[in-house]
Amino acid sequence: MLPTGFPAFVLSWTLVLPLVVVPPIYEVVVEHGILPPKHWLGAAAAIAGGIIAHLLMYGVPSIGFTGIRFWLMPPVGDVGWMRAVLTEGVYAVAYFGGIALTYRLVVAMMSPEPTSISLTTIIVSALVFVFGMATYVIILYPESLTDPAWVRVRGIVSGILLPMCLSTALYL
Amino acid sequence: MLNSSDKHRNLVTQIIAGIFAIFGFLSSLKTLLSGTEGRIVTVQGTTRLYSILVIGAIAAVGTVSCGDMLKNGWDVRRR
Repeated sequence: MLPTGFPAFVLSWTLVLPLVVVPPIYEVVVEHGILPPKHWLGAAAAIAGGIIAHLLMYGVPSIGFTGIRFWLMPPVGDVGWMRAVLTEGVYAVAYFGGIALTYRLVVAMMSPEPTSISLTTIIVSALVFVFGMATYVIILYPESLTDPAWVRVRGIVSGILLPMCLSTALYL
Repeated sequence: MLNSSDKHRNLVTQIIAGIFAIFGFLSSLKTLLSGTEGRIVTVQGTTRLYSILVIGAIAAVGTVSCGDMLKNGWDVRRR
């Protein structure tokens, strides 16, 4: 069962909240500046972008929208590795566009001094995520898409790779 | 039902795609870690990169644990 509607909303918080809350704490602990000015404005925008991206991916059943993920890769039935890799690409566009690009744009717009959006960093971070997931899916195919144990490992690999790549896309 | 020729072709395609994916992953990772805009050439830049990777790792632990806690209710980490 995929998280849709409210569960997708909560899922977006589990991804974005650690990414925007950990850096300020880290800054205080190590006394090393990382964050741009207007971080919290960017963080609010990233949270909003993350919610929109998750609802687009997983759908909102109450309004009859099934979501891109269900359409691309239904949880039942066989799916080829090409479609699985395409799905990871769509995830990357939704998450890196909705979270990282939104954050960078808001920070750049609100910053008193000229700040670069660093589109290259966002794109390269997204490519690391897509190619990393593609490597796992293709090398372990078909178990990566059919065997529940390997599917769970895929979720964990994605759960580790995505925040790390988003972290570089947001702050590097 | 696939015949042996189709299976062979599919396997070759999968191997080529696998090699391409590994190459793409390693080269994009190298580009990211070596500085996509030439900013990570100083000691400060390297420290910043390591800090961001540590932050990403801590956030990943948070994300995976939250997802795992919620998993009993929903298949939360996507599948």
